[in-house]
Amino acid sequence: MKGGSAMLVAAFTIGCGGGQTRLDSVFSSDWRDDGGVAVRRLHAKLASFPVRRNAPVAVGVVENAPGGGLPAPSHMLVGAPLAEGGAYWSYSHPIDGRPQIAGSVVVAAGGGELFALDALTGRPLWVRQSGGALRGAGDDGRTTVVSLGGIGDTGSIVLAIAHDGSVLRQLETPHLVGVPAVLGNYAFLPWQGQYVTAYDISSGEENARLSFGEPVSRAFTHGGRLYFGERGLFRFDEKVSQASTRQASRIALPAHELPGEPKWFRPGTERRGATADALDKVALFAAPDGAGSALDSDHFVATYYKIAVGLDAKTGTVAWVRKHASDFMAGSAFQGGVALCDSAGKVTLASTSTGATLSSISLGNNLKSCTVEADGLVSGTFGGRPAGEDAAPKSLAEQIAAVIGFTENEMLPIQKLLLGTLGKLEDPKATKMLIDLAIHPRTPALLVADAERALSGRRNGAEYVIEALGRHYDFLKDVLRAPPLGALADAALGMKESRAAPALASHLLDPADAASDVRHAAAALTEIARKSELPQLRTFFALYRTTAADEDLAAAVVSVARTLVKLGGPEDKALVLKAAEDPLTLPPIKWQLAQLNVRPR
Amino acid sequence: MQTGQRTWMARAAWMLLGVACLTPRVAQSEEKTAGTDPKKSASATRGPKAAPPSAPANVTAIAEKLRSGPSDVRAGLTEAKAAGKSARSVAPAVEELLRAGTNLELTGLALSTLAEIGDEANAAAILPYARHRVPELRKAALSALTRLRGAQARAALREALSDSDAGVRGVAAGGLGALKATEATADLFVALDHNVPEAASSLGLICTAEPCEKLVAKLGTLRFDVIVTGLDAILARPAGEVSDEFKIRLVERVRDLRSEPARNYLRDLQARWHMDGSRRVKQAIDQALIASSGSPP
Repeated sequence: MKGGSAMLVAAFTIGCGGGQTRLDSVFSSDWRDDGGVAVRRLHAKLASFPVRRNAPVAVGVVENAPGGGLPAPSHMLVGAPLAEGGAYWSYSHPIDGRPQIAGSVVVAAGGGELFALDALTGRPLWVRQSGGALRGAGDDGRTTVVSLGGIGDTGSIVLAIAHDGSVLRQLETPHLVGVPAVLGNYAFLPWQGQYVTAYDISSGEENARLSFGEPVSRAFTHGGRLYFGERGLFRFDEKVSQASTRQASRIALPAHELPGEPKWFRPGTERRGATADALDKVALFAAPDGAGSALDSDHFVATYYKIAVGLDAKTGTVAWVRKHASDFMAGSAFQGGVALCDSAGKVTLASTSTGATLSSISLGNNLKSCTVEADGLVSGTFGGRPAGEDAAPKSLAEQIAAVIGFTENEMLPIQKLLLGTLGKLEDPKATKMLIDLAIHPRTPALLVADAERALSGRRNGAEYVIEALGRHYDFLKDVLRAPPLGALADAALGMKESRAAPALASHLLDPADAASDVRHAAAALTEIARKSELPQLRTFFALYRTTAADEDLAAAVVSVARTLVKLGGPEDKALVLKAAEDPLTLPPIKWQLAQLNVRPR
Repeated sequence: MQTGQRTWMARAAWMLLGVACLTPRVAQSEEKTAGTDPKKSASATRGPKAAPPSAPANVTAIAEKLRSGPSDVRAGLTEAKAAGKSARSVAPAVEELLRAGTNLELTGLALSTLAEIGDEANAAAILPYARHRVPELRKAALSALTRLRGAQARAALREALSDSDAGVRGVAAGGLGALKATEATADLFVALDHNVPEAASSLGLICTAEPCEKLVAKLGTLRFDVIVTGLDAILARPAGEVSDEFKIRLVERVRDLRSEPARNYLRDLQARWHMDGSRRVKQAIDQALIASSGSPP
C-alpha cells in the first residue's frame, strides 16, 4: 500500500468511558492482500444480519433571525418525516457543516460541538465537544460512527458512539476517511479514496480490507443492503472481494452530456458547509433496485438549479423534465421515486420514471442547505400533501417547451441540452414547440440558433411548418420577428413538402427576411416548387440578378434560375439565357447561370 | 474573398450609393405633395403650384435608347423624365426595363421616370419594387406609386406602413395622405401610435369629423412637433372639409397647453395665415396668443 504509515491513536475518553482502540493493523500500510478471504468470511458472517432501513426524513438548515432579548443560536435544524404519521421538529444549535442522516439519527456539528438527534422526532440523543469538520456518519440503530476532519482538516478522526452518548472507539489517522457505514457492530470505513476497512468496533481490530480499482469514499446502506462507492456503486456481496479486478457487482450511471458535470456522489472526504453550493444544485440521484444489481425504475434524475430531468438509465435519453420555482439543493432516491428538496423548503416526491408528483412536504422555511434520506419510503406511505389529480399529462415535447420557455441565464446550458432532445423527438408537436421557441421574443437569443438548428432537422410536423411560413414581419401588428425561414425551408425540403412552396415563394419577396434565410428558401424551392410559383420566381429573378448585394442573395438567384429552367417553359429558359449574357447581371451570378446549360442545342 | 467577389461587392456598393443619392430627391419631391412640412402645407391654402412646362419629347429616339446599353438607357430615361407626360408613349418600354430588372441606379431612375410620364395603369410594373430588399428602392417605388395614384398604389402604401424600415413607413404614411386614402385612416392611427410621425400630417389631410377629433385628442400625449403637423394640415383644409368651429376649437386646445412650443406654433401660424383664410380662425389665433402669453402679439 502506498502512503504514509498508518497511525492509530489510543482512544481518549472525554468522561465517557470509551473502549480501547488498537494500534496495530488498522489503516496500516503493510497490509497484505489475502485474496479476499477475510472479506468473504465477513460477508458470510453478516449475510443473515438484518440491515435496518434508514429513517425517511428531510432536514434543513435555517438561519435563525436575531431575536430581541436572549441571544439565540445562529442556526436551527428543521426536520420533516417523509412517511406518513411523523411530526415536524426543530432544534436550535450553531451549525458549521452539512448535517448527516444515518440510520435513525441526524448528526450535525457546530459551535465546537458534535451532536445527534433522533431523525424522526428531533429528540437530542447526545452532545459532545468536537473540533473537526463533519464528513459523514453511519448508524445501525445502536451505534453511530462519525467521520470528522482532523485538526486543520488534515487526517481524520473516527468516533464510534453509542446512542446513549458513550464513546466506544476513537481513531485518529493521517489518512482521509470518508463516509462510514455500520453493520453488525462493524464499522465500514472508506479511506485513502480506494480502500474500505471493516473495523470491528468490539475488538478494535481491522477485520478485513477491500480494495477498489476506482475512487470509493462512501459506505452506506440502502434497501436493506450495504454499498460502497463514489463514481459507481459496489454491492457488499460474495463477489465484493473481487472489486479490484472488476468482477464485483457494480452499478454505474450511463454516460451523459449533462451540463455542470453533475455527480451521483460527491467525494465522501469533502468538507461541505452549512450553506448549499452549486454542486448541491447540479447533481444526480439514483437508487439501486431491490436486488441491488441495477438502477431502480431504470431511470435516474438530474437536477440543474430549478430544473429536474429524468433520464433513461440504459440510454441516457431524457424521459421527463420539470421546473420548480426554487433551486433544488438535495435529493434522495427511493423505490420508484426521488425526494427533491428545494431552497424554499419544499420536498417533492416524484416518480423517477415519469416525473409525476407523488406528494409534497414543506419544511416551512427557506433553507441554507438540505439533507434528504428517502431509503425507507414505500409507495402508499408518503407523508405530506398528496398530489392532486393530474390534468392531462403533458407530452415530453410540452414539458421541454415549458422549461425552455422561461428566461434565466444560468439555465441556458440545460436548456440547450433539452433543445437538442426536443429536436430528436418523433412527436410532431416538437416541431411546433421549436417554431414557437424560435419566434417567441422572450426566448433567450443564445437559444434561438439552437432552436433553428433543431428545427432544420425535423422530418415531421409539416402542418406546423406550413402554418409558420404563413407568418411575415408586420410592424403595425407588432410581429417584429420574422419566422425562422431558413430552418423552416430546410425542414420543408427534408419532408419534400410541396404544400410549403407557395409560402416559401412569398418569402422570397419579403424584404424583412434575412438574405441567408432567403438562400435556404430558394434552395428548397428547387425541389418542392410547382408551376404555380413561377410568377414569384420570375419577379425575384428580375429584381435581384443585377442587385443581389451579398453572396446569400446571389446564391438564391442562381437557385431560382435553376427552378425556372426546371419548371418553366421556353420563355423562362430564354429569360435565364438572356440574363446569363446581360452585362448588368452581377458577375458571380452570370457565371453560374452560364453553367446551367440552357442554350438550345 | 475572391478578386471577382470583391469587384462585385464594390460594384454593388457603388450602385447602392448611387440609389441612395438619387432617391432622397425623389422622395423629397413627393413630400411636397404629401404636405408633411407644416410651413409648406399652410401655404397650400393658396392653391397648388402649376407644374413647370415639360420639354417636348422625341419619343422615337428615347425608345431606341431604352433598348440599348446602360449608358443609352440612362440618357433615355433622363430625357423621358424631363419630357414628362409628353413621353407617355415610352412608358411600356420603361415598364419592360423594370420587369426585366436592371441595376440599382437605373432602377431608381426608371421608377422616377415612370412616375413622371405614366399613370395608374403603369403601377403594376412598380409594385414589386415596393418590396425590394434595398430600402431606398422601396421608398422610390412608393413615391412613384403616390404620383401614379390608383387603387393598387393605395394598397401598396397601406402594406408598406408595416415595413421593417422606418424611412419606408414614413414615405408610405405620407403617400396615403397625399392620395387622400381615407380607407387607411385606422391604419394611420395605428402607425401614429407606433411612432410613425408622418402619419400625423396624413391624418390631418384626410380625417373626417370623428377621426379629426381623435387626432386632436392626442394633443398632450404625442410629441408636440409630431402632432402639430397633423393640426397644421387640418387648419389648412378648406371650410367645406373642416368647419371653422372645429378649427377654432383646435386653436383653443393648443392655447390651453400653455407651453412654449405651443405659443411658438401659434405665433408662427399667425404669421403664416393667409389673407384669404377664415377671419374667425385668424381672430381665434390672435386671441389665443394674447391669452397664452399675457401680452398682445
